[in-house]
Amino acid sequence: MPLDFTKGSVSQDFAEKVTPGALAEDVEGDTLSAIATDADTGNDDHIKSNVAADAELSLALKNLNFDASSIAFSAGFACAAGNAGNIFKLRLYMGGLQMQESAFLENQSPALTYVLRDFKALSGSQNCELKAHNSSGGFVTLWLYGGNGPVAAAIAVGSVKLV
Amino acid sequence: MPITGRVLDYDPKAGQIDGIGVDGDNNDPVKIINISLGNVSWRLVTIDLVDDLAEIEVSPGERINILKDGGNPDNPEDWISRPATDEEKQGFLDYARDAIEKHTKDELYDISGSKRLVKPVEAVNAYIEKPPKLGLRFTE
Repeated sequence: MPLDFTKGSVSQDFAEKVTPGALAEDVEGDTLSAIATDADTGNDDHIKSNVAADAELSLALKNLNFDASSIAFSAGFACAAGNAGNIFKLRLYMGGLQMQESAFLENQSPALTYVLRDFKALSGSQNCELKAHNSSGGFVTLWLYGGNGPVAAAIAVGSVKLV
Repeated sequence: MPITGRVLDYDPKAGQIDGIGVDGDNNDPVKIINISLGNVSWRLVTIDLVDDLAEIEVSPGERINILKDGGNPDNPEDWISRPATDEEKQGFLDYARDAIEKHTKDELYDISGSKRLVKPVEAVNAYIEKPPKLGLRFTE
């Protein structure tokens, strides 16, 4: 039975129905990226990173090969706290595009878990990546916390394709 | 918002699905220029490859970080966080809007120091021939 998509919230005059044959799993979305670890200690449950002024720190990256007609979904999450307020934001990239940016991360203990998720049509070898951006004019510390099961930061990606 | 980075390709078929259709360079990704929008989050809606603009959907931050009176901004313990009031949230949105609307596009590139978007002619032509349509959306 063909599936029927009506795109977005466009008025009926402009709505276009896509009627693919079927959807099938393309890239499996049940495996996380490599887990973020501290560059000095190798720990994955208590990570301290000094981020340069106006620089981005890669927290989690997944590179996958997508089918030509693939729709990918990615969710990046981090349990994080900045060393000062109103400095760090998280950014989600898919296929070489910046898809989202969070509001400022809080600076408090315990750290909070932030999630950025989005979808995009991807094909071929593509990156999905979660980054943290330091908007200040100097080095600032970003803390990531995991431990007892939860990881500090990771990204999960899955996709479906039209067949 | 003006955008920077490097476009690798525009796929009209992808544009009909996700409303964007643009593939960027992982080493020089397509993104909004380096202007602080303040305490807001945003999501990319679509990209205009003719005018080098991104349409983004902006939301105010739910919480606010405040420095204690007399506090040292470099001392983490001198910062407190609490839920933002409706008035503060509106202030966040006003700040983001003013950061962009009070300047021309050229001025914004100058202020941000971001370089102009690099894009192949083929991608622009493909975009003009079949621009993206409103794609799949999250329903909140």
